[in-house]
Amino acid sequence: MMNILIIGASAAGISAAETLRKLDKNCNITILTKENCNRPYSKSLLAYLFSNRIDLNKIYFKPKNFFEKYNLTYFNNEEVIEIDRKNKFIKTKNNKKLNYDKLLLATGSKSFIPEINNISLNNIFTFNEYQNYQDIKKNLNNAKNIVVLGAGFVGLEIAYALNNLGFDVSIVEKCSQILPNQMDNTGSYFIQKELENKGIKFFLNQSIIEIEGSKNISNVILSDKTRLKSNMLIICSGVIPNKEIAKNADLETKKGLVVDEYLTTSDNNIYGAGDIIELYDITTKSSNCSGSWANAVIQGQYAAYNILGYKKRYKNFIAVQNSIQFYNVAATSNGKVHIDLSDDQSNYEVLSIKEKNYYKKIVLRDNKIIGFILINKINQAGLLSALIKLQLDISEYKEKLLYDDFTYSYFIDEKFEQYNAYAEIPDCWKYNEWYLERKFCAGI
Amino acid sequence: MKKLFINLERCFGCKRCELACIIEHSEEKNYAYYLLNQKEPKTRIFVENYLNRPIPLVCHHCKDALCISACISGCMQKDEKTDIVRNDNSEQKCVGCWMCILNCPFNVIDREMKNDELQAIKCDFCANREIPACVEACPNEVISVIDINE
Repeated sequence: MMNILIIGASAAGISAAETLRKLDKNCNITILTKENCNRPYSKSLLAYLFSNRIDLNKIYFKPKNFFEKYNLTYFNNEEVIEIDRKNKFIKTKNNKKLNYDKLLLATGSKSFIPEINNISLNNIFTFNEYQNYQDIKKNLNNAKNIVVLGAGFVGLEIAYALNNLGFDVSIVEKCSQILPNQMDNTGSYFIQKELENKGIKFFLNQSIIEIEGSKNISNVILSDKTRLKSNMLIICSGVIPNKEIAKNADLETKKGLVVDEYLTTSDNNIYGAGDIIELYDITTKSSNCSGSWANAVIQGQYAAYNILGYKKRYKNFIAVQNSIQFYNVAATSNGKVHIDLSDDQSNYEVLSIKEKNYYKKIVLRDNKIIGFILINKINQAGLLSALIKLQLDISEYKEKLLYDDFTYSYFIDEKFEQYNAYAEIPDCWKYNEWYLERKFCAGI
Repeated sequence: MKKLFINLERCFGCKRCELACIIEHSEEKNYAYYLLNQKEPKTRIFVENYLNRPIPLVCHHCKDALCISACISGCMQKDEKTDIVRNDNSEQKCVGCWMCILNCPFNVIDREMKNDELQAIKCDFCANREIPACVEACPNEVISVIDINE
């Protein structure tokens, strides 16, 4: 009976465990996490706790009886410190030793902490795990002026939540726009304007060069020497994969853990899924790590198939995909949304339409969609994402791309691996005056 | 399991299916009262346009549904008995992140204001009815319920 070990109990690890059990009723599946939680929770939901959108008991993304129902063994507070690949066992900080036949690394990512003096003063936090949420919440009583470093996804979400609670929030971002990886200038400005109208202050093109304070933080100093009063600093300047465990075991790592199309590492018995791995991104034509929940879940499923020997190829990886709602602005983006001057010689085309409360931008490379941004009218986002993954040549639809009616109705021949929902269409329907044929065609 | 099936050549774009869907999923169960309460009509079946022909888009309640994989709160789930995919039938709560809308290739998830919060809405196969409201409302038998093995 196969012994399968999963390190990490978030999106990728739990999704892999569930898929493994659905495919094989007999194997032993053990999940280890270094965190203290007794149920797997969703890191993406933590910001919503501050905005009171959900209560504490709603951060769990699987039901209470999940481990029991799927017959999974779960150990929390167990940090894996060593993988012995030759003898196929792992060792934890508490000296627990577990053998494995197959191992899945789903250790995720951790906050990147920039080097600034006084970075270990009190009331300076990162925002990644449940422990961070608890630390911040405990200290909110003493806070009034909160500075958030980084205007990426996580930074904006927590700034939005804390601003709603009545705190004075400033965001410091080193790029010239917010959401530098996910949006272009126009799209990001829609969101920035909405957040500014609700009281959040932005300091773009700035870094924090100095932190002032004695025991607790009191001020931060920006690149242009502006002094911001700050009794709490939250660092959201990106995440880096937790790949040390893999590196120490001599597995191939670059930006993240290197895996092939079957999510297998340089060791045939070790697999990877989630934030830890890096894969070739078809939209940017380079290898990248991804911080997306949906990617992690799907990678966990594919890793499960491959662990059991089914050889399921994971293709069409897109690192950047986001969707968010801030007050009255809904924004989604996917794929490559910036074109740099240094890009390769392919044929790029950008189509966009901007109205007062609406923005749609589609980026094409060699007549295939490789990225898009949608603000406020976001219904078509799913179809555009699917077209990116299919890498379909859409030259015949180019004039229609910006219309509101460019939906799945144009692609009903694509079944996306589901049942066929449309009956075979009789010939009379194809004529321009199909409605004149209705006596015979439409059954009236 | 039961799925929706469309005979395209019989559809004229009257949109009675959309109307029936709105009414069925409203508290008031009456279009006039629904509008008087100043709600924006939200349907879960969409009659869209392609080359001037009406094409109804329906939720396929997919196996290995992408909306379920994308859901960050775990509220989007597939019922084990009926195979219906819904996000309002579980312990977890929709937080309005729109990852499901970003991933659904059939364009059939929308957003609706419920209790002052924006949430994702989609076809729930009219779980409380004998046959779905859209199937019953169609005057020309465009949409029907079929049984398939998956």
